[in-house]
Amino acid sequence: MIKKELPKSTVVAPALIKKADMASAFKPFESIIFDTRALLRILDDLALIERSLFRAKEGFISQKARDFTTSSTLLLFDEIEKMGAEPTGDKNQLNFLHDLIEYLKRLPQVKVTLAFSPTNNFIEKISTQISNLLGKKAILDVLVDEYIVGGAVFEFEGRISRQTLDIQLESVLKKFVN
Amino acid sequence: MLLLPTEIISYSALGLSAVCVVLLILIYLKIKNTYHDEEKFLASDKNFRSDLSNKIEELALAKIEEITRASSSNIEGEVKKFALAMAKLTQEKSLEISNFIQKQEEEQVKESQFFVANSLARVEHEIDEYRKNKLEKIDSEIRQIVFSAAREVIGRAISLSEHEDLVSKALERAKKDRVFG
Repeated sequence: MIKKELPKSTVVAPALIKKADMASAFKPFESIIFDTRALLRILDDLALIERSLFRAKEGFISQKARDFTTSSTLLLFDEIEKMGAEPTGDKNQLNFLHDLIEYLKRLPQVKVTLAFSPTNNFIEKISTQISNLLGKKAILDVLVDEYIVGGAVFEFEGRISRQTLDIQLESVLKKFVN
Repeated sequence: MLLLPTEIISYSALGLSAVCVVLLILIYLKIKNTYHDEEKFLASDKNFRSDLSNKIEELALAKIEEITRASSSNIEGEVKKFALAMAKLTQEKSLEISNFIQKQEEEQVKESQFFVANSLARVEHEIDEYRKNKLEKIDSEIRQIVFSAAREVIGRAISLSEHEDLVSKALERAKKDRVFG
């Protein structure tokens, strides 16, 4: 993987971030997450970055973690650092990371069962549509089950909508077989 | 003439002795007669006893014979009566036992028939269940084969864009079903 050089931030960051500002600081992260696979990937990166915070380095998180990861997650930190939304100091940054991890873990998840392996673009499209319907960010927990033949099953907070071809196919075949 | 007391006494004694002798003679004679009478009486008594004994013996024998005859006929009658009663009782008991055995046999036959009927019904039911299960299993297997073949064929026949269209339609339906609030 090619190591990306991040420009040094010239923004003077506050020691602490207000709760309201913190939510906007997390936006860049949630905006790139559309399904649970992406969420797990980001959480793995954050766990790695968390371990690199106290290696006798100064500066922002992206600078401290640069030698430990080359993931695109660093670009997100760089982005929020430019916004001045990242706190300074090891302890504050650690708390910020913990809050970010908790925030991402609590994002609403919609379980979607499909008969095929969807493309990233399609996941993004469906996730965005559902987020718009909910009025808040939601990510997809995609499960591939060829048994349903076509269509999808959506499950959210105990409610289920099953629109699959196997049901229709079965009713047609039953008439045929019987 | 005066007699001396001793003479008086002697004479008195002599007189008394004579009287006594006479008396003794008389007694002797009387006893002799009595003895003779007694002998005669004893002889006649012996005869009488003999006769009486014979008579009694005859009467006793006759009576015994009569009693024996009567007893014998009584015993025979009793035996006959007893035999008849026994025969009657035996017949009754025999009939009773015969009826009991017949009843038992009938009950056993009924029980056997009931058992056979039950067993037959159970076996028929089991066979029906088995047949039904087997048919259902075969039916299910045929369906599975048809379904899986149909799924595979249709699944392959659907393109990616068609899949995505189907999902978009399913999302629209979920929206109408208010899955997302």
